[in-house]
Amino acid sequence: MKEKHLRMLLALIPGTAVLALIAVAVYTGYGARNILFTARGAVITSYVVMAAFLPLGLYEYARFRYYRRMEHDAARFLSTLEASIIAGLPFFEAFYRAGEYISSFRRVVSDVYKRLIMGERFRDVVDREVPRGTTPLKLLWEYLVLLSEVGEELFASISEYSLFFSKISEFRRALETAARQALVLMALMLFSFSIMLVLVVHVFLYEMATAGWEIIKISPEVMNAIEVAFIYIIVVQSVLGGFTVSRIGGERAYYLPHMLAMGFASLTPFALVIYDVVNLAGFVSSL
Amino acid sequence: MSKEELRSQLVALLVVFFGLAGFFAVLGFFGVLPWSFSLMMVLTFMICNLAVTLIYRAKVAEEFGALGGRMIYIYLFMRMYFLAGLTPADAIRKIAEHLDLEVLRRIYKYMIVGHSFTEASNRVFGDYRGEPRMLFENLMNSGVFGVGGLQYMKDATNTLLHELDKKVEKVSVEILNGVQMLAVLGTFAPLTIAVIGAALMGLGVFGIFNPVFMALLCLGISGLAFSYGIYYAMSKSSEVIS
Repeated sequence: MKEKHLRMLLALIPGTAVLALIAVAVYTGYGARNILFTARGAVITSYVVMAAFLPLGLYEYARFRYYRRMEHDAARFLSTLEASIIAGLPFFEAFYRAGEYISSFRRVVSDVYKRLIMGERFRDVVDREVPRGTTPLKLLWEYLVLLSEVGEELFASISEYSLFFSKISEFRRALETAARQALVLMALMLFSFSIMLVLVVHVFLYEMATAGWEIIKISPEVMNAIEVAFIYIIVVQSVLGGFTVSRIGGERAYYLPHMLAMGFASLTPFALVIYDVVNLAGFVSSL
Repeated sequence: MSKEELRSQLVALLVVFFGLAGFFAVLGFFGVLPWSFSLMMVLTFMICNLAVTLIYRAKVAEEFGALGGRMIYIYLFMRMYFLAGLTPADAIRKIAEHLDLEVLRRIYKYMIVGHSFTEASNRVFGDYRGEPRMLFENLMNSGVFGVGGLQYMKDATNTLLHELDKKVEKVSVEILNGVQMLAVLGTFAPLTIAVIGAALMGLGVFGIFNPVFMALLCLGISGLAFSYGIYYAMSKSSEVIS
């Protein structure tokens, strides 16, 4: 299965999970409105949606972790290749040797080399077999193909390209650091938002809704709507936040699992209060 | 999608949303619909207008911004292809494939029907005079002039890397500030709206209240802020390297 198709399949899981949940709710008599628009139902729906995004997040995380390692090792790979070429090895032998020394390249180089021995062309093997993923890796593999085709005229440029790759790797690391800082910021914001909501909704508004102040009276219906909105905002924030932070580093959804974990942690205080495991309003009233 | 196509889509969407907002305003004014419901619908369509305008601006910025952020790769690819002896048009085609850049694809299309690079570039960039265009045209003109061009390209690549070095720090700080703002907007704006809305309901300011609509409104604002955040992060990081 192609990477693109697998990604599309994984992206369909959340929608399918919500439809399945609605179908189960209708079948068991709980009702679609109850599962989507009541606080108790919204908690379950939110957990299901966030769990359904996990496969996509984990896949992207694993994929880009692999690419990133290759990107960071690209400069070292080219230096090793250059050393072997200077030592007098033919290009493909030098390519194989360089792969032997750099662990992130070992498997892919070994696979390509086996196919070369079988008589296939380097460009064909690279076009068909090698996963490129990111722009620096596309550049690297295209450069290697041209090195193999053009030969000695280009060998002088290897050290130059090795230097360029190490600089590019530095820049990408700087963006990764920015992305990590943004992740921490978003996660803290999400968690503090959740705790604040629990306090606002279940201490202040709950008092208004149940005790009935003289000035303001809030109906249980309004209370429910606010709770549902806040629960879904936590989901929106954790899912879209995961994509946003990943985009800073130039990836699709690398930080989605991190934000989803934070989403689970943020939703749990809400769930505990809504399902009466913790009676916050009662506790405050007793003070 | 070209800039003109994007602009025409934006205008069409704006007309539809303004039309719908006006429609609900008229119905509310003449009492066909409850005025509070009409007001909320008008508000929703105004938010939709704001959202499409923001997304359009981010998209346009991203189109040429991506060219700027990928300029270093364009230089490296171009140098590599010129060293290998490819023609400028072929080099542009290959780079457009690898980097998935629509601008380059369009320049190549003009070049294969007989236009010179300068003509093709003028047609594609139009009146745009940003830094990416200047860099790209310098690069292509140097490549066309052979060996001297290759040396120029090497120097220019080093200069560009040096410039990027300085820019990365600045953009990282800008990204963090932007994320901070969107996190505040995406979380605390809906919270404020919901609490004020609930208090107003309690005071009986709005006669008719639709809780599901209120929930969707809060959710919409949060979603809007984060959708814009994704575009913001994309356009900012693509300014540096992507």
